[in-house]
Amino acid sequence: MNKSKSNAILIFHALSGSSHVYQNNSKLGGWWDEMVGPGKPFDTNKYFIICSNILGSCYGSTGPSSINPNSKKPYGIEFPIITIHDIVNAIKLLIDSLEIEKLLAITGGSTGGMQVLDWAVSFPDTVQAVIPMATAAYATTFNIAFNEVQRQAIYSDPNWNGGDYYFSKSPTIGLKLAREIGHITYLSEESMREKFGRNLQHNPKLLFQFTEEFQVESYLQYKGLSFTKRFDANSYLFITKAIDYFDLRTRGNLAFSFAPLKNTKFLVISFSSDWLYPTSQAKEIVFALKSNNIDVSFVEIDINYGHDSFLIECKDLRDVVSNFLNSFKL
Amino acid sequence: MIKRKDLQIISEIIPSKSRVLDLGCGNGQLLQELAKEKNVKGLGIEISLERVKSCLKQGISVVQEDLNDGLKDFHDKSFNYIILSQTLEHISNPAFLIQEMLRVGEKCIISFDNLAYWKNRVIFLFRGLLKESNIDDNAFNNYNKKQILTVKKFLKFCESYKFKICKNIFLPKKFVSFNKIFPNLLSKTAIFFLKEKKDDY
Repeated sequence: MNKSKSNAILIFHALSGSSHVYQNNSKLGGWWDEMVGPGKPFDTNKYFIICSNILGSCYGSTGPSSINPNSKKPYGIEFPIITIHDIVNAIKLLIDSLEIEKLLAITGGSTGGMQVLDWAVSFPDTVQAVIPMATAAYATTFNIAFNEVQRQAIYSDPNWNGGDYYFSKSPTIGLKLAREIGHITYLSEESMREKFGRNLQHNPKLLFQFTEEFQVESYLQYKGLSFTKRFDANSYLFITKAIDYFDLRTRGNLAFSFAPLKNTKFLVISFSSDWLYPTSQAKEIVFALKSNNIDVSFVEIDINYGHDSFLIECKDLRDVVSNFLNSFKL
Repeated sequence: MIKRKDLQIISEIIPSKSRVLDLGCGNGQLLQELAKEKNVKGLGIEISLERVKSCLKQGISVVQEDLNDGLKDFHDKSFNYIILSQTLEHISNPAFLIQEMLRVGEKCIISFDNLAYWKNRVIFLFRGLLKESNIDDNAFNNYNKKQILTVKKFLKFCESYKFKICKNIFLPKKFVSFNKIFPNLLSKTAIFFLKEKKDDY
């Protein structure tokens, strides 16, 4: 952090993310190594990068798996239903404790992008640049439908036991299924076709059995299973619920909500193949900002990796963000 | 100073602290000059990602959009000036866009290279090549379609759609008096100022 505390960038992580945004000296890769690090757009040599685990998650912040001080047992479903705004409020306490009056930028994708927008609207004069990507100002019917089906997968695992499973078997099967469903929504038809096609995994011939035969089936199994080793099923419930509840509009109007943001500069980014948070959602945000004469830039990156595009290596994304950030004097 | 003469003149004419929308803003050189010299708050619209990146580098707000969709996101009279420079030839429905410009902006400035410029006619006569652009060719290699644009054609077009031209500037300026009489022949670049109603400019 520089002396004037003017170079702080706050990054918000998404549903299954953590504060480990950048590998740094650890053995484990960061979730946004493509964008954070020396020479990257969120340059660790130039900026003070902050990323905190969100409320309700299981990577350090209080969540359903944390011990309730009253009962001395994990909260489970007794944990309060939280909103994106609650999550943002908690992180605000962190920023206040670091005594940062004005952040240079806030950014994040997907659920992280929702936190970005909520922060911008809740704390209008605390940030110079706002960079939401692959996100929306409200969860769509589509988002809610997919989130609910994922939650149903967890509920229907008998091991879930009403959220009380910390002293017995975890609802691994339910969480695995939830993640498999989620994972499909993070990809695109094109990228899946390119990667797997109709290729078979184990056997060169079709077996005419109910078994895992196609490469894409094996891939999903692998992704689902490895997720269960690192994430808590109840956290998945609470965070997807917070996503569903997210709606930044005031009486149905987004422009009203953005009115206090006159002195902020926005860079809204969407990805052409993202069908979970499509470009139309980004355009609604841009429209609401334009209606208020707020400084807004918008780019739709042409890439075929679907919703997950913001996490993978992409020169256009790096150039756009770098150029935008470099125009701010520290 | 901007290299392109039409942009330099436009930047001199626009008053300080105006709100400007630059349609097809390219690398943002006009908005950059206006921000620096005239304290202008501008917004650019540009379809090419590479040029959007250039604008962002200079701190210019730019929205990546296709102008053929019109200006539906903008409220009436939300800008003092709307600029359409060296872009009209790439618009598939120019009447629609100009109508939108007149709705959204108080004043509109349109500039284009005149294909009927006498030098272009000479080149065509001797080389059989239509000189399509007087500026860098790499500036427009994203576009496939280009309308043939001449001063005469534009004047006829404005007449048929009842667009009121309140001022015009023909470049190069050295043939100033002849330019006004024979603009289709003598002007390399034309700048037109349009307004919705016929008022003093």
